[in-house]
Amino acid sequence: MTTADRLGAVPRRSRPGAAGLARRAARLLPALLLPLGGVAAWQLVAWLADPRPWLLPSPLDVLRTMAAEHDRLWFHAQGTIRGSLLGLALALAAGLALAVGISASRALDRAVYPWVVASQAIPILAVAPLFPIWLDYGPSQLLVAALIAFFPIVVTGVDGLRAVDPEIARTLRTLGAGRLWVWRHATFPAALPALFSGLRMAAVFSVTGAVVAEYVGADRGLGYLSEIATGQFQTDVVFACIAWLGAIGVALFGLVTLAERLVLPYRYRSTRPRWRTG
Amino acid sequence: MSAPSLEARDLTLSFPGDGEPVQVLGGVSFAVGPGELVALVGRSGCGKSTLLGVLAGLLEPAGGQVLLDGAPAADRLGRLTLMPQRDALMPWRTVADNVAVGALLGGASPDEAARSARAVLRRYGLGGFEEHYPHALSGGMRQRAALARTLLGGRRGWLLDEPFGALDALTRADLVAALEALWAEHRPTVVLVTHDLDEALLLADRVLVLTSRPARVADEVPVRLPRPRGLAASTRPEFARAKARILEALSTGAAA
Repeated sequence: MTTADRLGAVPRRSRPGAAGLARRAARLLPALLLPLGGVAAWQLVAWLADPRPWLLPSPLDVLRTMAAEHDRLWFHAQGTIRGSLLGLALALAAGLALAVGISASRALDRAVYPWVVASQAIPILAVAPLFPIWLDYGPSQLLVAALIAFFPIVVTGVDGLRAVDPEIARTLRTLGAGRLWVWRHATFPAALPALFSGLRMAAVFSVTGAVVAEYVGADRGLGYLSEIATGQFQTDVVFACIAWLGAIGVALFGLVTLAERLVLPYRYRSTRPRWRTG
Repeated sequence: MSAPSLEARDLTLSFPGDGEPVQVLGGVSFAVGPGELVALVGRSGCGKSTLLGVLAGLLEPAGGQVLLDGAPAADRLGRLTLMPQRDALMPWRTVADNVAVGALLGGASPDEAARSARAVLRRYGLGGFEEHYPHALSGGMRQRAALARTLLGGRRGWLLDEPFGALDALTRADLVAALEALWAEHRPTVVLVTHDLDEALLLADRVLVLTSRPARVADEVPVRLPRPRGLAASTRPEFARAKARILEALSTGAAA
């Protein structure tokens, strides 16, 4: 080892401690400023103008409703969460299978890829009412969520599976690796960063899909509840549903981000974490 | 495994261009003895990397043959190990896991591979960096790791494609010395492609000068300098004479 080499990056091993957490919290502050300011302004308008509650309930009204109606909201939220998660899982399985096929086969690329794109050209709201005609609410919700969520997974998956550095593949081949080994140990891992980007989008889309399905035909879910509440001018309940949906979307997004950190530690650290072996 | 002898016999290859195909290899012939280190120099774009691809078995030549140990070797992919200019380490594997790939593909068990990776990293100055990901290492350290992976692959024929081309001068000098030591110890058969004449003369037993596209061997310059050479060798008159002859061949080769 030479000094010239040693002078390069000698990375830190340290983990963020309490001070690091405080710094991170401080970085979140600007992001919170906008919604907090918005809610404050909204509350101010509600106090000063005192509109009828069905026209514009105040944030405090909404909070009160969320507390008072918690059981009903949670019951419906569970339906939406289940639909989103199952839809996302189906989208991941189908999307990944399609991406592998399209990236591996020129014929599939030509025959299928254009239709994957076309499937997104039709607004989901126009297609969604068809599903409950043929299926129960559960499966139809799952399919609508999957239909909208699989698209970013296919697109990022195909790009990712083509992104492997050709030098890596060539070098491995000359070291005696077969095509399958190269795919399993180089092509696929190289696709994961892009795939996770797609998965993050899909996580948010799947909630949209689940809610759309609930609007067009369901007997449970936040979309269903919101539609009923709109009909009855229970605007506070509609806002409560919106708050829940936002929270579910953010939670799913966060879940995917967390999974990425566990699966791809090299993107965030300079050394292998202790919890990861092999 | 003993170091193989390698022979290129009248290799030709063209790539489809706009309209007319571009001839890249125009009948390349040369031989490398077992344990010999031969450098290939030529202007950029003369087809050196393509030639290495053909030797490795990643590309099939349109005409001619590659012989290993005197026998035509159509099925040679995996017998000569390539080491590219960019280290081709896998970013998602730690340095130790990257190096272990060589041993794994050479048939070692995972445990054995991990053990030998650690040993070779310590030996070649990367001790303490086993658990780092490649992006945390300097370019020189990464190329050392790539050399270690090549070594653990167990093949005794190496094709080095401008392995130090992306490094700064000081780091490159270190790695040239490291490669000479490694070669002296293990005596693999090496084909080293480079555009750096000093690097070629410091390392090679013979320097083959390639013409511009289509590539042919324009001249063959033996380098009679005692080993280990070190940077001091570049001040010797033999060094200067060999360099002048290579430059001469390069300029006439370009006109041809």
